[in-house]
Formats: sequence, structure tokens, C-alpha cells
Amino acid sequence: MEVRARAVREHIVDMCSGPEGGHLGGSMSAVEILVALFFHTMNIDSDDPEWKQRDVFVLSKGHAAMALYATLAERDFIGREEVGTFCRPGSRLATHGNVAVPGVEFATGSLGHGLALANGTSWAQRQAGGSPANTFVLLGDGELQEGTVWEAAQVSRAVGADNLVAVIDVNDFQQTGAVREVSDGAPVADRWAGFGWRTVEVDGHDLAALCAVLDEAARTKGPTAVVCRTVKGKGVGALAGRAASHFVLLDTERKRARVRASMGPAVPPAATKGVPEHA
Amino acid sequence: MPETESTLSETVSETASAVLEADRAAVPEAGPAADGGPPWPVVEPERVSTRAAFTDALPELAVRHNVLVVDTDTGSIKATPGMDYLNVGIAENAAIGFAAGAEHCGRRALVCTFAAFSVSRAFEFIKLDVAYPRRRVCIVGTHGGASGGWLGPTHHATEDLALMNALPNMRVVVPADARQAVSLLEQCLEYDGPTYLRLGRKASPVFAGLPEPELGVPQVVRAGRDIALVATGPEMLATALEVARGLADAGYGAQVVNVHTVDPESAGAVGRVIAAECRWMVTLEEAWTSGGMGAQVAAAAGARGIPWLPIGVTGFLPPDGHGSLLEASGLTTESVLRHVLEFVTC
Repeated sequence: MEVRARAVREHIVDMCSGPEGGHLGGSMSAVEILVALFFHTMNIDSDDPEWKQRDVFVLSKGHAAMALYATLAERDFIGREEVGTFCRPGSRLATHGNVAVPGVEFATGSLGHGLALANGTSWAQRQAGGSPANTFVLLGDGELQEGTVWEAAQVSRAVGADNLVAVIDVNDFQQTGAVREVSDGAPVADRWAGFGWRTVEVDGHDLAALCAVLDEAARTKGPTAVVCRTVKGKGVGALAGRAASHFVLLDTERKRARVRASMGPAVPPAATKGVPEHA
Repeated sequence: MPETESTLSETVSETASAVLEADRAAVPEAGPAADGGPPWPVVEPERVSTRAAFTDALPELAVRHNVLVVDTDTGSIKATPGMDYLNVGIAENAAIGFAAGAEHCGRRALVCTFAAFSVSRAFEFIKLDVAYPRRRVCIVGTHGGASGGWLGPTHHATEDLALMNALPNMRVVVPADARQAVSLLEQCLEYDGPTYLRLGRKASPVFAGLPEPELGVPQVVRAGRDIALVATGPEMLATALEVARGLADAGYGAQVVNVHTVDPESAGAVGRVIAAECRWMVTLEEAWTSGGMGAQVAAAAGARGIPWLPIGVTGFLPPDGHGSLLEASGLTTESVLRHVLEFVTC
């Protein structure tokens, strides 16, 4: 899975090459989360993206669509060659999640919608009876400033959404600066716990730990919030951990080469210890 | 297969045209209707709330059409065993999102709200999560128009028609009475896309002789060739019928059209027909005239250059009884008749 994560990062760098540039920071911080979900935790079928019994993934932080497209390409929902069309004329790959892309369930990008939608999908999954499929929704920590997140969080608990997992990519930054400088809300985990969610914290770049936590979150009763400590722009040397990584245009090969170099040597193709990757 | 927009529009035009053509021969230029013509609707002595009709009809319809009912603490739903019913509380955005998510997984949904809170507060959720993907979600807004009365401007919904009309794919439905409310509710629950169903609060006029409504198809309920009175909702249709009688006394033939589906697709079609048939056009609605039913009708009729008098609510309303608010807004018979006569004689 480290190999997948590396490949996803390289795809993201390619997508930032223009003509529009892209939301590099918030895509890079979510790479391991997406790889763990799409290659380990979620029960999905790239040959049948709308399979009725599938686990549903909702990208509430829709500006991280590059990371999702790249993951979908690695997971064979779309061709790897399509990644290079990002924001180019005729492409399906738009800056924010485009539902024309197999595996993109909702048009997100206006923040604060995903959890409300996930309440609906997880409810429908529970209606199917038996052991229901799960819905996973990925939010950003800046996004938590949107009040509709909390409106929906209250509903999740009230309706007993056992099969709902909210994953929060806490990369500490939003467009204009550090989240705590823009609007210093209570600690993220405290907020979810305060809303009655089962809350766990994990290193959002540790694939083995993520897989274990997500597996457990999917199994346990009640809605679970997986609070992931991440680095905005993770893996991109000079930009990592900076608000400046939010939206980046890598319009020259020189810039791209510098970014790739900062990503370090390619990962040796070895599976993550003790964690099976679904074929 | 759902009808495409163009075929639906043609249907509307053809229907309205056919009715207009048929009436043209039967109705004299002015004065009361000739005996033997189609019966014009009359207001019955009994008044019934469209909201109450919805409350009574929903349980059976929701089960029959396998609809998830999401409520927002309205008190307008009688949940019954067998109905998939969820009251998510005072949370309109969460309710719309919930319904959209369930629909994404194959479940048709209805969200019950106060119009004043769903339409403007949750507009962006409706826009992105319901209208854009054309989901089979019916948004019911009770307390439409000024029917909130003494609850005050926080609970009046005079912006809802303009906001919902602005959305592509959205059918915007205002039943003319309690009977139409039940019929149109079922049609919304069968429609292959998003619908907004605007209902009132307390008892409102009921009409004898009003034909069965068909979603998207305006109804010409009284024939006349001078002035078209185009009305939306129970109170406005009652006013229009009374005004038509007054105009007949003054020597004008007034056509009355009930527009129960007010979105651009439906109202626009009737506008084109009216512009070809009548000399003056008057639109009546319990809503802001900017972007409401009248604006859709007029936009379609505009190319024909027919003089248009928009009658509706033009500002924020104070807390007061529903009837007093209609009167203060100039929406009652005497005021409308005076304005129309000024309009056609100036």
C-alpha cells in the first residue's frame, strides 16, 4: 500500500501541472486515508461502481478530488492515463468531485454537505437488512467551521448510524492560514465526542494504524469519528505543513521535478506489514 | 420514461391551446357565460386546509409509493406503522441532505418543512444535492405565502416561488385547493425528479367544478378573450374568479387560468398561449412578484408584447391575520378589480 500511496502522490503532482493547478495540500494530506479505505477497508467493485451492496465513500472535502481521482485510477475505477487530463478540455476530472467519474458518488466542494448525505446513504444501507454496508465520509478540519456539519452530526447519533464512519483529515490548515489562527475551535476530537460520537485518534499517514482503526470503526456500534492527524502537503518537501500548499500550480517541469525530488526515493514494493490489500 | 422538457412544454401548449380554442367559440366577447358552456369553478361554502389534506393523505401514499418521509419537527405528519418516517428535528439542511443521500441509494424521499425554513435556509442543499442531480425528492413547504399570518415575517414564505423557480430541474407546485393538493402530492411522488410542493396553513377555499390537475399543465377554468387572469393558489384563484365576474359586469371577457405548476417550463407555456389569445394579462400570486409565477408567464409572453399587470406581494409583511395581510397587500377582490380596470382603461 505504500507503493499505492506513492503512486497517488505522483498522480497528484502531475495533475497540478495545469492548466489550472490544484489543491495540492489538502489532497496530499488525505492520501493514506484514501489508500487505506480503497485498498483495504471498503468493499467495492471497480467493475460495478454502483453495486448495490457496496460501501459508499463520500468526499465531503471535495477540493481533495485530485487525491480521489488518483486513488480511483490506482484502484482501476478509471484508467491511469485519464489522470493526465485533469482540468483539460473535455476531461471528466474537474477541480471538485465530478459525478461523471465512476466512484465519485456526489458533487461536493461546497463544504459541509457530505455528512448530511452520508446520513442518508448509511440509512438506506441499514434498510437493506442483514449486515449493512458502511458509509465513509471524509471531512477536513477547516470544513468543521461549517455549521451544517454539526447539524448532521447530531442527526447521525439520533438515528443510530452504526454503519457510518466520519474520517477527519486534521491537517491544521485552511486556505488563508492555520485553522487555529483563523478560527480557534475546540479540539477536533472533543467536538465529535461532545456530539456523542465514538471518537478515535490516529496518525493519518500510518497505513497499518489507519487500516486497523478503520476496520474497527466500521464494526462498532454508533457513528464513529476517526480523527486523523495529518500534514498538509505531506510528502512535498518545501510545501509540507504550510498554508501555501493549499492551491498550487506546477506549470514547469522544473517545479515538478523539484517536488518529485522532495518526495524521496520510490517505495520498495513491499506490502504493509500484516495488512492484506484487497485485490 | 419521463417526458422530456420539450414534449412536456408542447403538451402544455397544446392542452391550453385546445381549451382556449374550444372556449373561443362558446364564449361571447363580454358578459356572463352563455348557458351550456363548461361549468366554471365556484367556491364551496366549506374551507379546507391544503396542509391538512396533505397530512391526511400522506400515510397511505407514502406506503404505496415506498417513500422515505423526513420530517423537521413540523407536526404536519401522522406517522403510521409501515411508513418509513424519520423526524430529524429542527435541521433543514440535514434533512435535505439525508433525503438526497437515501435517494442516491435508490429510495424516493419526501422532506416535510415549513416553507419559510426549507427554501431559503436550505437553498444550497436543495440546489446542489437535489436539483443538480435531479433526485426524486419532494420538498413540502407548509405555511406558504402569508398563511403564517400572526406568526410573523419569520414564518411567512413569500420568496419561495422565486427561489425554487430559479433552479433548473425543479417542478414548483402550488395546488389550488385541498383536493388538488392530494392529487398533486401523489403526482410529485411519482415524478422522476425533484419537486417543491407549496401548501398553506389554515383552511382555504375549495372549488366545485375544478378539473383534476395534471402536473405541469395549467388549467383554463373560465373562458374570456379580453383579459387573462392567471392565478396561483387557493386564495388567488378565488379572487380571480370573483374579479372575472366583476369584469364581466364592466363589459370585459375575463379568462381565468389556474397555474398549479408555476415553474418556468409550465407557467411559461401558458404565457405564450395567453399572449396569442388575450389583450391584457394579469397575474395573481401570494408571493414576491420578482421571479414568481407571474414572472415566468410574462417572460414567455413578453415577445408578443402583451401588456402585463403583476399582482403579488412586494415587500416584507408584518404579523397579522392571513386575511388582513392579503387585504393589505392588495390581493383581495375589490382591490384587484380596481387595479385591473385602471390597467385596461389607462
